[in-house]
Amino acid sequence: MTLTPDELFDALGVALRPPPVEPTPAELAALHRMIDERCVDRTTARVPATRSWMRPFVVVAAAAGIVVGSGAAAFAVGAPVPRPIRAVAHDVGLPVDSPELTDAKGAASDLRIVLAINDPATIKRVRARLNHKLAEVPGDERGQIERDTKALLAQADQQLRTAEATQPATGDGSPKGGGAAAGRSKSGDATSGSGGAGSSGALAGGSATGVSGSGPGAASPPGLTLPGQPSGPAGSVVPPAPPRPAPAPAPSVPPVVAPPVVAPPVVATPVVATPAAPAPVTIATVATAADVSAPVVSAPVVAASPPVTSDLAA
Amino acid sequence: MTPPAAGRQTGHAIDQAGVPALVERAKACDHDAWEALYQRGYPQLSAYAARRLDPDRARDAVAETMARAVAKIKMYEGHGAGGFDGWLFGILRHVVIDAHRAARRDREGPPVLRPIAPAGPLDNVLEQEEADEVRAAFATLAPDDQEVLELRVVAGLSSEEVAAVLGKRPGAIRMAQSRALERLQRRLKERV
Repeated sequence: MTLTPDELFDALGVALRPPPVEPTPAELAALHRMIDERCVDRTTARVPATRSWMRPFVVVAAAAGIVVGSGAAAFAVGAPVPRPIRAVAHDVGLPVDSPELTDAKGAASDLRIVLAINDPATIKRVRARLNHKLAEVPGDERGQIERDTKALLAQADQQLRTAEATQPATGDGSPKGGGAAAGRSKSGDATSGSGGAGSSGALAGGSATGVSGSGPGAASPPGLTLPGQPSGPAGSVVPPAPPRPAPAPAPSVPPVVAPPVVAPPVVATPVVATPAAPAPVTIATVATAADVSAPVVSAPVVAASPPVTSDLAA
Repeated sequence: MTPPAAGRQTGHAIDQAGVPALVERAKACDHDAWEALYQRGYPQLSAYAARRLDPDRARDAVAETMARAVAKIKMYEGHGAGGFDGWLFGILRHVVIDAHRAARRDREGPPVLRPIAPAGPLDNVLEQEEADEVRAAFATLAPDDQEVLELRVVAGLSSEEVAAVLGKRPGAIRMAQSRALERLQRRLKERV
């Protein structure tokens, strides 16, 4: 049997022709049941569909929902609202501070902190930043923040004037890198300033001023040299005096600190005084040694300054 | 090679041109439209299913096909490569595959293609003998060849519709059909 493709196709159609069967009445009844159960007439029971012209509004509504939802969640848990969400929420009229106002409030808070620290250089810097942030606050929010920061700025000016007034009397404790400003390094590691010009002033500016008995001036206190002793340049170590014969040991001298036989020149070791450290004990020991007329040279004492956040020191 | 009209010889009081209107009415849950579409496609659907399943399961498969079609008629767009017949065969093919999977779970044997029963007495003996020869040669083809030719000849689908049903490109279907016919021709010569 040799057939052309068309003839073969036709022959195949005849050979494979399905028998003329029809669905039974039961199958037709099942079909009608399925139509009643599963088919929903589009013309009579149309499901509300999103029309094309509604899509932009739906997108905007969804975005607003996300903003409101996330913002409300952030407020509910007390978490800071991310800046983009805050910006959008403020733009759509939600009762949220603008990012600029938030920045200004942050700068005001920073200024409040540095005013407590009383560091003129940092006060000057943070005050300038606050003024800059205030200038960026939108007009409708500026009145409130300006009222809130007016007293702060006035206090900053007052403290700066005071610092400038006391600056000439304190000699080298000027804010130019020496004194307290130098002692407050960015990392808060006050020991790094030992031996420098600012090291002596740093402690005096801190809370451990009971050590020297000098005034708590922020600029530059006299240091830790004991009364009656020559005070060398700030930060310098006075060479020890030549040894002298030691007098008879006083009974009140603790044997641990002052050997009873020979009283070499007592040099206090550098002490790192932290606010919690019992620094006066060491100095009291030195003072006791002074009672035996041994030359006592105070070693630079470095105070750990109060922690200053990197944001403020920046 | 043009698709034959053989696949539409029986059970098609409604020709292809009337199908879109019926489908639109079916989307509106018109019972009469659904019944007409059912009766129109029933012979081809039953023949396809009866070749792959036992008679009872074949009837169930056709009924399940119509049930799925009723449920999903809203998703049928009526355009693209496959027409309504191709869409129905695509559903039936998945139903048959599901039935085969169920049979495998029940530890039944692998699916086999059943012989094609003659549709009925032909006009003359020569034609009857020729049809028997073609059916016998057709039964020796690979299952994939048989499926392509069945969908083209029995179901009356176009190459594009067959491609949509089988998930292949129309060009690949035309190539497969051509090769299947060549092999069928060889088998017929071998039988003579």
